[in-house]
Amino acid sequence: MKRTLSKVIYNRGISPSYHLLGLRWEGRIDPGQFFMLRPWSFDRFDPLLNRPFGVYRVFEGGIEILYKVVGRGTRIMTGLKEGDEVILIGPLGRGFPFMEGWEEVSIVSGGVGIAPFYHLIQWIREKGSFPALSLYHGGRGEEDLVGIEEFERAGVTVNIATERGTRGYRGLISDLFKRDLEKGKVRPSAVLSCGPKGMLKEVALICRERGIPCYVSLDRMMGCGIGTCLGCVVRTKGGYQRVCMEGPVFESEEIVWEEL
Amino acid sequence: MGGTVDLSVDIGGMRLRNPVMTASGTCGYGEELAPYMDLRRLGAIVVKGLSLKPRPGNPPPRMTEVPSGLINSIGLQNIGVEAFVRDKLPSLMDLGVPVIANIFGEDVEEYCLLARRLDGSGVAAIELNISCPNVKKGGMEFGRIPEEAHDLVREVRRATGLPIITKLSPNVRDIKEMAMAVEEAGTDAISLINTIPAMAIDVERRRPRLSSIIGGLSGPAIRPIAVRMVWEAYQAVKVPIIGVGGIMGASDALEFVIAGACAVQIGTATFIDPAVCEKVLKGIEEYMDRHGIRRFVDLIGSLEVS
Repeated sequence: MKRTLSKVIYNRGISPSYHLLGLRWEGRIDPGQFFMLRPWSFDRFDPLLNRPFGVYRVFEGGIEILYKVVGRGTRIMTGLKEGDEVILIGPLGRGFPFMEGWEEVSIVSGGVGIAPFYHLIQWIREKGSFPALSLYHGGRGEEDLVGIEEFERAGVTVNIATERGTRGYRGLISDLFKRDLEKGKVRPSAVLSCGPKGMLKEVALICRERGIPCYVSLDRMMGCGIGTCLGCVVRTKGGYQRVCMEGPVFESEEIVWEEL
Repeated sequence: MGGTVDLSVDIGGMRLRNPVMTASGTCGYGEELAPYMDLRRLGAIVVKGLSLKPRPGNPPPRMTEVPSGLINSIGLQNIGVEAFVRDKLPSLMDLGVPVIANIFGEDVEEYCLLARRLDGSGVAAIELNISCPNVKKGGMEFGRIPEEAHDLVREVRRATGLPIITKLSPNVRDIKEMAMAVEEAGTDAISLINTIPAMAIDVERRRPRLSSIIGGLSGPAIRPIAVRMVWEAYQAVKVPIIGVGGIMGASDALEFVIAGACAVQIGTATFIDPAVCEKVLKGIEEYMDRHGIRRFVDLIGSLEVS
Protein backbone atom coordinates (compact mmCIF):
# COMPACT_ATOMS: atom_id res chain seq x y z
CA MET A 1 0.00 0.00 0.00
CA LYS A 2 1.21 3.48 -0.82
CA ARG A 3 -0.26 4.88 2.38
CA THR A 4 1.79 4.20 5.47
CA LEU A 5 2.17 5.37 9.02
CA SER A 6 5.77 6.47 9.10
CA LYS A 7 7.93 7.50 12.01
CA VAL A 8 10.10 10.56 12.33
CA ILE A 9 13.78 9.62 12.60
CA TYR A 10 15.04 13.18 12.96
CA ASN A 11 13.95 16.73 12.31
CA ARG A 12 16.61 19.40 12.49
CA GLY A 13 17.17 22.93 11.36
CA ILE A 14 20.16 23.48 9.08
CA SER A 15 19.65 27.24 8.72
CA PRO A 16 17.14 29.70 10.19
CA SER A 17 14.45 28.66 7.70
CA TYR A 18 15.57 25.35 6.18
CA HIS A 19 15.07 22.01 7.90
CA LEU A 20 15.72 18.35 7.22
CA LEU A 21 13.14 15.75 8.14
CA GLY A 22 14.09 12.07 8.16
CA LEU A 23 11.22 9.59 7.86
CA ARG A 24 11.07 5.82 7.92
CA TRP A 25 10.27 4.51 4.48
CA GLU A 26 11.25 1.65 2.25
CA GLY A 27 10.74 1.18 -1.42
CA ARG A 28 11.60 2.49 -4.84
CA ILE A 29 11.29 6.18 -5.64
CA ASP A 30 11.82 7.79 -9.02
CA PRO A 31 13.64 11.14 -8.84
CA GLY A 32 11.11 13.97 -8.90
CA GLN A 33 8.29 11.97 -7.36
CA PHE A 34 6.76 13.33 -4.18
CA PHE A 35 4.96 12.29 -1.01
CA MET A 36 1.89 13.66 0.73
CA LEU A 37 2.77 14.12 4.37
CA ARG A 38 0.57 14.89 7.31
CA PRO A 39 2.99 16.59 9.69
CA TRP A 40 0.40 16.68 12.46
CA SER A 41 -2.05 14.19 13.90
CA PHE A 42 -5.03 13.02 11.86
CA ASP A 43 -7.33 14.46 14.55
CA ARG A 44 -6.04 17.96 14.12
CA PHE A 45 -8.12 19.67 11.43
CA ASP A 46 -6.53 23.08 11.32
CA PRO A 47 -4.54 23.05 9.09
CA LEU A 48 -6.73 20.48 7.40
CA LEU A 49 -4.84 19.20 4.40
CA ASN A 50 -1.71 17.11 3.99
CA ARG A 51 1.27 18.75 2.33
CA PRO A 52 3.22 17.63 -0.75
CA PHE A 53 7.00 17.28 -0.40
CA GLY A 54 9.71 16.16 -2.76
CA VAL A 55 12.43 13.78 -1.67
CA TYR A 56 15.83 15.27 -1.00
CA ARG A 57 17.73 12.11 -0.23
CA VAL A 58 17.02 8.40 0.02
CA PHE A 59 18.92 6.29 2.53
CA GLU A 60 18.70 2.79 3.95
CA GLY A 61 15.26 2.54 5.57
CA GLY A 62 14.25 6.13 5.08
CA ILE A 63 13.81 9.31 3.11
CA GLU A 64 14.94 12.83 3.85
CA ILE A 65 12.78 15.85 3.11
CA LEU A 66 14.29 19.30 2.78
CA TYR A 67 11.71 21.93 3.71
CA LYS A 68 11.63 25.65 4.14
CA VAL A 69 9.42 27.35 6.70
CA VAL A 70 7.07 29.44 4.60
CA GLY A 71 3.77 29.38 6.46
CA ARG A 72 1.76 27.94 9.27
CA GLY A 73 1.98 24.33 8.09
CA THR A 74 5.75 24.23 7.79
CA ARG A 75 6.09 26.14 11.08
CA ILE A 76 4.10 23.43 12.86
CA MET A 77 6.24 20.86 11.05
CA THR A 78 9.37 22.10 12.78
CA GLY A 79 7.88 20.74 16.02
CA LEU A 80 7.97 17.11 14.85
CA LYS A 81 10.17 14.95 17.06
CA GLU A 82 11.92 11.62 16.77
CA GLY A 83 9.38 8.81 17.09
CA ASP A 84 6.33 10.89 16.08
CA GLU A 85 3.95 9.03 13.81
CA VAL A 86 2.87 10.68 10.56
CA ILE A 87 0.68 9.69 7.61
CA LEU A 88 2.89 9.35 4.55
CA ILE A 89 1.38 8.69 1.13
CA GLY A 90 3.53 7.96 -1.89
CA PRO A 91 5.68 7.96 -3.88
CA LEU A 92 3.36 9.90 -6.14
CA GLY A 93 3.32 11.39 -9.62
CA ARG A 94 5.74 11.30 -12.49
CA GLY A 95 9.30 12.38 -11.87
CA PHE A 96 12.12 13.62 -14.09
CA PRO A 97 12.92 11.72 -17.25
CA PHE A 98 16.48 10.69 -17.78
CA MET A 99 17.61 9.64 -21.19
CA GLU A 100 20.66 7.56 -21.88
CA GLY A 101 21.77 9.75 -24.76
CA TRP A 102 22.06 12.90 -22.65
CA GLU A 103 25.70 13.93 -22.49
CA GLU A 104 25.25 17.06 -20.47
CA VAL A 105 22.42 18.03 -18.13
CA SER A 106 21.86 21.42 -16.52
CA ILE A 107 19.75 21.79 -13.41
CA VAL A 108 18.29 25.20 -12.64
CA SER A 109 16.80 25.63 -9.19
CA GLY A 110 15.65 28.42 -6.94
CA GLY A 111 15.42 28.36 -3.15
CA VAL A 112 13.90 25.18 -1.77
CA GLY A 113 13.42 24.09 -5.40
CA ILE A 114 16.82 22.45 -5.06
CA ALA A 115 15.15 19.69 -3.02
CA PRO A 116 14.44 17.03 -5.69
CA PHE A 117 17.80 17.28 -7.39
CA TYR A 118 20.09 15.76 -4.85
CA HIS A 119 18.10 12.55 -5.07
CA LEU A 120 18.23 12.79 -8.86
CA ILE A 121 22.04 13.00 -8.76
CA GLN A 122 22.16 10.07 -6.32
CA TRP A 123 19.99 8.09 -8.69
CA ILE A 124 21.98 8.97 -11.83
CA ARG A 125 25.23 7.95 -10.12
CA GLU A 126 23.76 4.70 -8.88
CA LYS A 127 22.72 3.88 -12.42
CA GLY A 128 26.38 4.15 -13.36
CA SER A 129 25.66 6.98 -15.74
CA PHE A 130 28.03 9.94 -15.88
CA PRO A 131 26.76 12.82 -17.99
CA ALA A 132 28.33 16.21 -17.31
CA LEU A 133 26.15 17.80 -14.64
CA SER A 134 25.86 21.46 -13.83
CA LEU A 135 23.71 23.05 -11.15
CA TYR A 136 22.54 26.63 -11.40
CA HIS A 137 21.11 27.52 -8.04
CA GLY A 138 19.74 30.86 -6.99
CA GLY A 139 18.27 32.48 -3.93
CA ARG A 140 17.79 35.79 -2.19
CA GLY A 141 20.99 35.44 -0.20
CA GLU A 142 23.21 33.05 1.71
CA GLU A 143 20.18 31.59 3.54
CA ASP A 144 18.91 29.96 0.35
CA LEU A 145 22.14 28.14 -0.45
CA VAL A 146 21.71 24.95 1.54
CA GLY A 147 23.17 21.63 0.47
CA ILE A 148 25.41 23.14 -2.22
CA GLU A 149 28.50 21.34 -0.92
CA GLU A 150 26.84 17.97 -1.34
CA PHE A 151 26.35 18.68 -5.03
CA GLU A 152 29.99 19.68 -5.34
CA ARG A 153 31.09 16.49 -3.61
CA ALA A 154 28.96 14.52 -6.08
CA GLY A 155 30.99 15.99 -8.94
CA VAL A 156 28.44 18.55 -10.08
CA THR A 157 29.66 21.92 -11.39
CA VAL A 158 27.88 24.40 -9.13
CA ASN A 159 26.98 27.94 -10.16
CA ILE A 160 25.38 30.33 -7.71
CA ALA A 161 23.39 33.53 -8.00
CA THR A 162 22.02 35.58 -5.15
CA GLU A 163 19.70 38.55 -5.51
CA ARG A 164 21.51 40.43 -2.77
CA GLY A 165 24.87 39.51 -4.26
CA THR A 166 26.22 37.93 -1.07
CA ARG A 167 27.61 35.03 -3.06
CA GLY A 168 28.17 34.22 -6.72
CA TYR A 169 26.49 36.15 -9.49
CA ARG A 170 24.47 39.12 -8.33
CA GLY A 171 20.99 38.76 -9.75
CA LEU A 172 18.69 36.05 -10.96
CA ILE A 173 19.89 32.51 -11.57
CA SER A 174 18.02 32.40 -14.87
CA ASP A 175 20.13 35.37 -16.06
CA LEU A 176 23.36 33.62 -15.09
CA PHE A 177 22.22 30.46 -16.83
CA LYS A 178 21.33 32.39 -19.97
CA ARG A 179 24.69 34.16 -19.96
CA ASP A 180 26.56 30.84 -19.65
CA LEU A 181 24.51 29.36 -22.49
CA GLU A 182 25.34 32.33 -24.66
CA LYS A 183 29.02 32.02 -23.85
CA GLY A 184 28.91 28.32 -24.62
CA LYS A 185 30.06 27.53 -21.09
CA VAL A 186 27.32 24.90 -20.91
CA ARG A 187 25.75 22.98 -23.80
CA PRO A 188 23.05 20.90 -22.10
CA SER A 189 21.24 18.09 -23.90
CA ALA A 190 18.40 18.83 -21.47
CA VAL A 191 17.49 21.21 -18.67
CA LEU A 192 15.68 20.22 -15.48
CA SER A 193 14.21 22.91 -13.29
CA CYS A 194 12.36 23.45 -10.02
CA GLY A 195 11.69 26.66 -8.12
CA PRO A 196 9.53 29.78 -8.11
CA LYS A 197 7.02 30.26 -10.92
CA GLY A 198 8.76 33.32 -12.37
CA MET A 199 12.07 31.45 -12.59
CA LEU A 200 10.48 28.41 -14.23
CA LYS A 201 8.81 30.59 -16.85
CA GLU A 202 12.10 32.31 -17.61
CA VAL A 203 14.00 29.00 -17.87
CA ALA A 204 11.28 27.57 -20.13
CA LEU A 205 11.57 30.58 -22.41
CA ILE A 206 15.38 30.41 -22.54
CA CYS A 207 15.16 26.72 -23.50
CA ARG A 208 12.42 27.31 -26.06
CA GLU A 209 14.53 29.93 -27.86
CA ARG A 210 17.40 27.47 -28.13
CA GLY A 211 15.40 24.31 -28.76
CA ILE A 212 16.71 22.61 -25.61
CA PRO A 213 14.35 20.05 -24.05
CA CYS A 214 13.29 21.37 -20.64
CA TYR A 215 11.44 19.62 -17.82
CA VAL A 216 9.95 21.57 -14.94
CA SER A 217 8.67 20.37 -11.58
CA LEU A 218 5.60 22.34 -10.51
CA ASP A 219 4.64 23.05 -6.93
CA ARG A 220 0.91 23.56 -6.44
CA MET A 221 -1.39 23.52 -3.49
CA MET A 222 -2.87 20.03 -3.40
CA GLY A 223 -6.03 18.67 -1.85
CA CYS A 224 -5.29 14.97 -2.03
CA GLY A 225 -2.14 14.28 -4.08
CA ILE A 226 -3.66 11.09 -5.48
CA GLY A 227 -5.73 12.34 -8.38
CA THR A 228 -9.20 12.50 -6.89
CA CYS A 229 -9.85 16.12 -5.96
CA LEU A 230 -8.82 17.81 -9.25
CA GLY A 231 -7.71 20.82 -7.23
CA CYS A 232 -4.11 21.06 -8.47
CA VAL A 233 -4.65 21.22 -12.22
CA VAL A 234 -2.59 23.35 -14.60
CA ARG A 235 -3.49 24.30 -18.14
CA THR A 236 -1.48 22.35 -20.70
CA LYS A 237 -1.73 22.17 -24.46
CA GLY A 238 -3.81 19.03 -23.92
CA GLY A 239 -6.21 20.71 -21.46
CA TYR A 240 -6.14 20.72 -17.68
CA GLN A 241 -3.79 18.16 -16.17
CA ARG A 242 -3.33 17.17 -12.56
CA VAL A 243 0.05 18.16 -11.14
CA CYS A 244 -0.20 15.21 -8.72
CA MET A 245 -0.78 12.54 -11.38
CA GLU A 246 0.34 13.74 -14.80
CA GLY A 247 3.04 15.83 -13.07
CA PRO A 248 4.65 17.19 -10.98
CA VAL A 249 7.26 17.14 -13.77
CA PHE A 250 6.06 18.39 -17.14
CA GLU A 251 7.82 19.02 -20.38
CA SER A 252 7.98 22.82 -20.34
CA GLU A 253 6.57 23.11 -23.86
CA GLU A 254 3.38 21.38 -22.67
CA ILE A 255 2.57 24.11 -20.14
CA VAL A 256 0.44 27.10 -21.09
CA TRP A 257 2.72 29.51 -19.23
CA GLU A 258 0.50 32.58 -19.61
CA GLU A 259 -2.07 30.86 -17.38
CA LEU A 260 0.24 29.44 -14.75
CA MET B 1 -15.14 -7.52 9.39
CA GLY B 2 -15.97 -9.29 12.61
CA GLY B 3 -19.32 -10.57 11.43
CA THR B 4 -20.87 -10.24 14.87
CA VAL B 5 -22.92 -7.23 13.89
CA ASP B 6 -25.29 -6.70 10.97
CA LEU B 7 -24.28 -3.54 9.13
CA SER B 8 -26.56 -3.97 6.14
CA VAL B 9 -29.08 -1.34 5.17
CA ASP B 10 -31.69 -0.81 2.43
CA ILE B 11 -31.83 2.40 0.45
CA GLY B 12 -34.46 2.81 -2.21
CA GLY B 13 -34.43 -0.88 -3.10
CA MET B 14 -30.65 -1.14 -2.94
CA ARG B 15 -29.28 -3.53 -0.38
CA LEU B 16 -25.98 -2.21 0.94
CA ARG B 17 -23.57 -4.42 2.86
CA ASN B 18 -22.75 -1.49 5.10
CA PRO B 19 -23.63 2.20 5.38
CA VAL B 20 -20.29 3.75 4.40
CA MET B 21 -19.96 5.31 0.93
CA THR B 22 -17.57 7.67 -0.74
CA ALA B 23 -18.94 11.14 -1.47
CA SER B 24 -19.15 12.29 -5.06
CA GLY B 25 -16.12 14.17 -6.27
CA THR B 26 -13.76 12.79 -3.67
CA CYS B 27 -12.95 9.36 -5.03
CA GLY B 28 -12.66 10.16 -8.74
CA TYR B 29 -14.07 7.24 -10.66
CA GLY B 30 -13.05 4.80 -7.94
CA GLU B 31 -9.82 3.61 -9.54
CA GLU B 32 -7.80 6.45 -8.02
CA LEU B 33 -8.54 5.11 -4.52
CA ALA B 34 -7.83 1.48 -5.35
CA PRO B 35 -4.11 1.60 -4.40
CA TYR B 36 -5.03 2.82 -0.91
CA MET B 37 -7.97 0.76 0.25
CA ASP B 38 -9.97 -2.31 -0.58
CA LEU B 39 -12.89 -0.76 -2.42
CA ARG B 40 -14.92 -3.93 -1.89
CA ARG B 41 -15.25 -2.93 1.74
CA LEU B 42 -17.42 0.05 0.83
CA GLY B 43 -21.19 0.04 1.12
CA ALA B 44 -21.37 1.87 -2.20
CA ILE B 45 -19.16 3.98 -4.44
CA VAL B 46 -20.48 7.38 -5.49
CA VAL B 47 -18.50 8.62 -8.47
CA LYS B 48 -17.59 12.12 -9.61
CA GLY B 49 -20.53 14.11 -11.02
CA LEU B 50 -21.25 13.27 -14.65
CA SER B 51 -22.64 15.48 -17.37
CA LEU B 52 -23.78 14.63 -20.89
CA LYS B 53 -20.66 16.07 -22.48
CA PRO B 54 -17.18 16.19 -20.95
CA ARG B 55 -16.51 19.38 -18.97
CA PRO B 56 -13.05 20.94 -18.55
CA GLY B 57 -13.89 22.48 -15.16
CA ASN B 58 -12.94 25.90 -13.80
CA PRO B 59 -9.55 27.59 -14.23
CA PRO B 60 -7.17 27.29 -11.28
CA PRO B 61 -6.85 28.16 -8.47
CA ARG B 62 -9.66 25.78 -7.60
CA MET B 63 -9.08 25.08 -3.97
CA THR B 64 -8.16 26.85 -0.77
CA GLU B 65 -7.76 25.75 2.81
CA VAL B 66 -9.61 27.47 5.65
CA PRO B 67 -9.80 26.60 9.38
CA SER B 68 -11.10 23.01 9.57
CA GLY B 69 -12.34 23.21 6.02
CA LEU B 70 -11.68 23.42 2.34
CA ILE B 71 -13.28 25.66 -0.27
CA ASN B 72 -13.33 24.22 -3.76
CA SER B 73 -14.56 25.29 -7.12
CA ILE B 74 -13.60 22.43 -9.40
CA GLY B 75 -16.49 23.23 -11.70
CA LEU B 76 -17.58 19.63 -12.25
CA GLN B 77 -14.65 18.64 -14.43
CA ASN B 78 -15.59 15.20 -15.76
CA ILE B 79 -15.19 12.89 -18.71
CA GLY B 80 -18.88 12.82 -19.64
CA VAL B 81 -21.38 10.01 -19.27
CA GLU B 82 -20.40 8.10 -22.43
CA ALA B 83 -16.73 7.77 -21.52
CA PHE B 84 -17.72 6.84 -17.99
CA VAL B 85 -19.99 4.01 -19.10
CA ARG B 86 -17.48 2.78 -21.67
CA ASP B 87 -14.13 3.19 -19.86
CA LYS B 88 -14.72 3.33 -16.13
CA LEU B 89 -17.89 1.48 -15.22
CA PRO B 90 -16.96 -2.08 -16.28
CA SER B 91 -14.00 -2.39 -13.91
CA LEU B 92 -15.90 -0.64 -11.13
CA MET B 93 -18.71 -3.15 -11.46
CA ASP B 94 -16.26 -6.02 -11.17
CA LEU B 95 -15.77 -4.99 -7.54
CA GLY B 96 -19.25 -6.17 -6.68
CA VAL B 97 -20.07 -2.95 -4.83
CA PRO B 98 -23.09 -0.85 -5.88
CA VAL B 99 -21.98 2.05 -8.06
CA ILE B 100 -23.96 5.25 -7.70
CA ALA B 101 -23.63 7.73 -10.55
CA ASN B 102 -23.88 11.36 -9.52
CA ILE B 103 -25.36 13.33 -12.41
CA PHE B 104 -25.62 16.99 -13.27
CA GLY B 105 -27.51 18.77 -16.05
CA GLU B 106 -28.05 22.34 -17.13
CA ASP B 107 -31.78 21.81 -17.58
CA VAL B 108 -34.45 19.21 -16.88
CA GLU B 109 -33.98 17.58 -20.25
CA GLU B 110 -30.28 17.00 -19.68
CA TYR B 111 -30.94 15.34 -16.33
CA CYS B 112 -33.50 13.08 -18.01
CA LEU B 113 -31.15 12.17 -20.86
CA LEU B 114 -28.45 11.29 -18.36
CA ALA B 115 -30.81 9.20 -16.26
CA ARG B 116 -32.06 7.36 -19.34
CA ARG B 117 -28.53 6.73 -20.56
CA LEU B 118 -27.57 5.18 -17.23
CA ASP B 119 -30.67 3.00 -17.03
CA GLY B 120 -29.48 -0.54 -17.71
CA SER B 121 -25.82 0.51 -17.77
CA GLY B 122 -25.07 -1.37 -14.59
CA VAL B 123 -25.09 1.48 -12.10
CA ALA B 124 -27.13 0.69 -9.00
CA ALA B 125 -28.64 4.15 -8.58
CA ILE B 126 -28.29 7.75 -9.60
CA GLU B 127 -27.66 10.68 -7.33
CA LEU B 128 -29.06 13.95 -8.63
CA ASN B 129 -26.72 16.82 -8.03
CA ILE B 130 -29.15 19.72 -7.82
CA SER B 131 -26.93 21.69 -5.54
CA CYS B 132 -23.48 22.33 -6.92
CA PRO B 133 -22.39 25.89 -6.16
CA ASN B 134 -19.64 25.83 -8.77
CA VAL B 135 -21.42 26.07 -12.06
CA LYS B 136 -23.23 29.05 -13.45
CA LYS B 137 -26.28 27.40 -14.93
CA GLY B 138 -28.62 24.79 -13.49
CA GLY B 139 -27.45 22.86 -10.47
CA MET B 140 -27.92 25.25 -7.63
CA GLU B 141 -31.04 26.81 -9.12
CA PHE B 142 -32.95 23.55 -8.89
CA GLY B 143 -31.61 23.06 -5.42
CA ARG B 144 -32.78 26.40 -4.10
CA ILE B 145 -36.45 26.37 -5.05
CA PRO B 146 -38.67 23.51 -3.81
CA GLU B 147 -41.06 23.70 -6.77
CA GLU B 148 -38.20 23.49 -9.28
CA ALA B 149 -36.64 20.58 -7.43
CA HIS B 150 -39.99 18.83 -7.31
CA ASP B 151 -40.56 19.15 -11.05
CA LEU B 152 -37.03 18.02 -11.85
CA VAL B 153 -37.29 14.90 -9.70
CA ARG B 154 -40.71 14.10 -11.14
CA GLU B 155 -39.35 14.23 -14.70
CA VAL B 156 -36.28 12.15 -13.88
CA ARG B 157 -38.55 9.66 -12.10
CA ARG B 158 -40.42 9.21 -15.40
CA ALA B 159 -37.16 8.83 -17.32
CA THR B 160 -35.58 6.00 -15.35
CA GLY B 161 -36.32 2.90 -13.37
CA LEU B 162 -33.15 3.31 -11.33
CA PRO B 163 -33.35 4.31 -7.68
CA ILE B 164 -33.01 8.10 -7.38
CA ILE B 165 -31.10 9.80 -4.59
CA THR B 166 -31.54 13.57 -4.58
CA LYS B 167 -28.62 15.49 -3.11
CA LEU B 168 -29.83 18.59 -1.34
CA SER B 169 -28.18 21.95 -0.94
CA PRO B 170 -27.82 23.52 2.49
CA ASN B 171 -28.36 26.87 0.81
CA VAL B 172 -32.14 26.87 1.27
CA ARG B 173 -34.72 28.66 3.35
CA ASP B 174 -35.95 25.44 4.95
CA ILE B 175 -34.42 22.00 4.43
CA LYS B 176 -37.65 20.27 5.51
CA GLU B 177 -39.57 21.97 2.74
CA MET B 178 -36.97 20.82 0.17
CA ALA B 179 -36.92 17.27 1.48
CA MET B 180 -40.69 17.03 1.37
CA ALA B 181 -40.84 18.46 -2.15
CA VAL B 182 -38.47 15.86 -3.61
CA GLU B 183 -40.05 13.06 -1.59
CA GLU B 184 -43.43 13.93 -3.02
CA ALA B 185 -41.95 13.94 -6.52
CA GLY B 186 -40.80 10.36 -6.10
CA THR B 187 -37.20 10.39 -5.01
CA ASP B 188 -36.15 7.12 -3.37
CA ALA B 189 -33.71 8.73 -0.97
CA ILE B 190 -32.07 12.03 -0.20
CA SER B 191 -28.48 12.85 0.55
CA LEU B 192 -27.45 15.98 2.41
CA ILE B 193 -25.64 18.25 2.53
CA ASN B 194 -23.69 19.47 -0.45
CA THR B 195 -21.02 22.13 0.19
CA ILE B 196 -21.88 25.54 1.62
CA PRO B 197 -21.17 28.57 -0.61
CA ALA B 198 -18.10 30.29 0.81
CA MET B 199 -15.27 32.67 -0.01
CA ALA B 200 -11.73 33.47 1.08
CA ILE B 201 -9.55 36.47 0.27
CA ASP B 202 -5.82 36.95 0.01
CA VAL B 203 -5.59 40.27 1.84
CA GLU B 204 -2.03 41.06 0.74
CA ARG B 205 -3.02 40.95 -2.90
CA ARG B 206 -6.68 41.87 -2.30
CA ARG B 207 -7.66 39.04 -4.58
CA PRO B 208 -10.04 36.12 -4.16
CA ARG B 209 -8.33 32.83 -3.32
CA LEU B 210 -10.36 31.05 -6.02
CA SER B 211 -10.62 31.96 -9.69
CA SER B 212 -14.40 31.68 -9.44
CA ILE B 213 -14.38 33.92 -6.30
CA ILE B 214 -17.01 31.79 -4.56
CA GLY B 215 -16.68 28.06 -3.97
CA GLY B 216 -18.15 25.33 -1.81
CA LEU B 217 -17.02 24.77 1.78
CA SER B 218 -16.55 21.21 2.97
CA GLY B 219 -14.78 19.46 5.83
CA PRO B 220 -15.29 19.31 9.60
CA ALA B 221 -16.26 23.00 9.71
CA ILE B 222 -19.65 22.21 8.16
CA ARG B 223 -20.47 19.05 10.07
CA PRO B 224 -22.69 20.53 12.80
CA ILE B 225 -24.78 22.27 10.13
CA ALA B 226 -25.13 19.02 8.21
CA VAL B 227 -26.11 17.06 11.33
CA ARG B 228 -28.75 19.66 12.14
CA MET B 229 -30.17 19.44 8.62
CA VAL B 230 -30.28 15.64 8.67
CA TRP B 231 -32.14 15.82 11.99
CA GLU B 232 -34.63 18.31 10.58
CA ALA B 233 -35.15 16.32 7.37
CA TYR B 234 -35.54 13.08 9.33
CA GLN B 235 -38.54 14.53 11.11
CA ALA B 236 -40.10 15.72 7.87
CA VAL B 237 -39.76 12.78 5.45
CA LYS B 238 -39.94 8.98 5.36
CA VAL B 239 -37.45 8.33 2.54
CA PRO B 240 -33.99 7.17 3.62
CA ILE B 241 -31.48 9.93 4.33
CA ILE B 242 -27.77 9.73 3.54
CA GLY B 243 -25.72 12.04 5.75
CA VAL B 244 -22.79 13.94 4.26
CA GLY B 245 -20.63 16.74 5.58
CA GLY B 246 -17.26 16.78 7.28
CA ILE B 247 -17.20 13.21 8.56
CA MET B 248 -13.64 12.50 9.70
CA GLY B 249 -14.19 9.42 11.82
CA ALA B 250 -16.66 6.87 13.16
CA SER B 251 -18.11 9.06 15.88
CA ASP B 252 -18.84 11.79 13.33
CA ALA B 253 -20.60 9.23 11.14
CA LEU B 254 -22.58 8.01 14.13
CA GLU B 255 -23.79 11.54 14.85
CA PHE B 256 -25.47 11.54 11.46
CA VAL B 257 -26.91 8.07 11.97
CA ILE B 258 -28.31 8.87 15.39
CA ALA B 259 -29.79 12.07 13.94
CA GLY B 260 -31.61 9.98 11.33
CA ALA B 261 -29.27 9.04 8.48
CA CYS B 262 -29.31 5.43 7.34
CA ALA B 263 -25.98 5.76 5.57
CA VAL B 264 -23.12 8.22 5.30
CA GLN B 265 -20.83 9.55 2.62
CA ILE B 266 -17.23 10.45 3.29
CA GLY B 267 -15.64 13.16 1.24
CA THR B 268 -12.98 15.60 2.35
CA ALA B 269 -11.52 13.14 4.88
CA THR B 270 -10.55 10.90 1.95
CA PHE B 271 -8.14 13.61 0.81
CA ILE B 272 -6.33 13.39 4.13
CA ASP B 273 -6.42 9.64 4.50
CA PRO B 274 -7.46 7.64 1.44
CA ALA B 275 -8.15 4.66 3.71
CA VAL B 276 -10.48 6.58 6.03
CA CYS B 277 -13.65 4.75 4.94
CA GLU B 278 -12.29 1.49 6.32
CA LYS B 279 -11.45 3.19 9.61
CA VAL B 280 -14.97 4.62 9.88
CA LEU B 281 -16.51 1.24 9.19
CA LYS B 282 -14.34 -0.44 11.80
CA GLY B 283 -15.18 2.29 14.31
CA ILE B 284 -18.92 1.83 13.76
CA GLU B 285 -18.57 -1.90 14.38
CA GLU B 286 -16.61 -1.32 17.56
CA TYR B 287 -19.25 1.14 18.75
CA MET B 288 -22.03 -1.36 18.10
CA ASP B 289 -20.09 -4.07 19.93
CA ARG B 290 -19.49 -1.79 22.87
CA HIS B 291 -23.14 -0.78 23.08
CA GLY B 292 -24.53 -4.26 22.44
CA ILE B 293 -26.28 -3.22 19.25
CA ARG B 294 -26.53 -6.10 16.78
CA ARG B 295 -28.31 -4.43 13.88
CA PHE B 296 -27.07 -1.18 12.44
CA VAL B 297 -30.58 -0.16 11.42
CA ASP B 298 -31.55 0.03 15.10
CA LEU B 299 -29.23 3.01 15.48
CA ILE B 300 -30.88 5.12 12.80
CA GLY B 301 -32.69 8.10 14.32
CA SER B 302 -32.07 6.81 17.83
CA LEU B 303 -31.46 10.27 19.28
CA GLU B 304 -32.93 10.68 22.73
CA VAL B 305 -34.24 14.15 23.33
CA SER B 306 -36.40 13.93 26.42
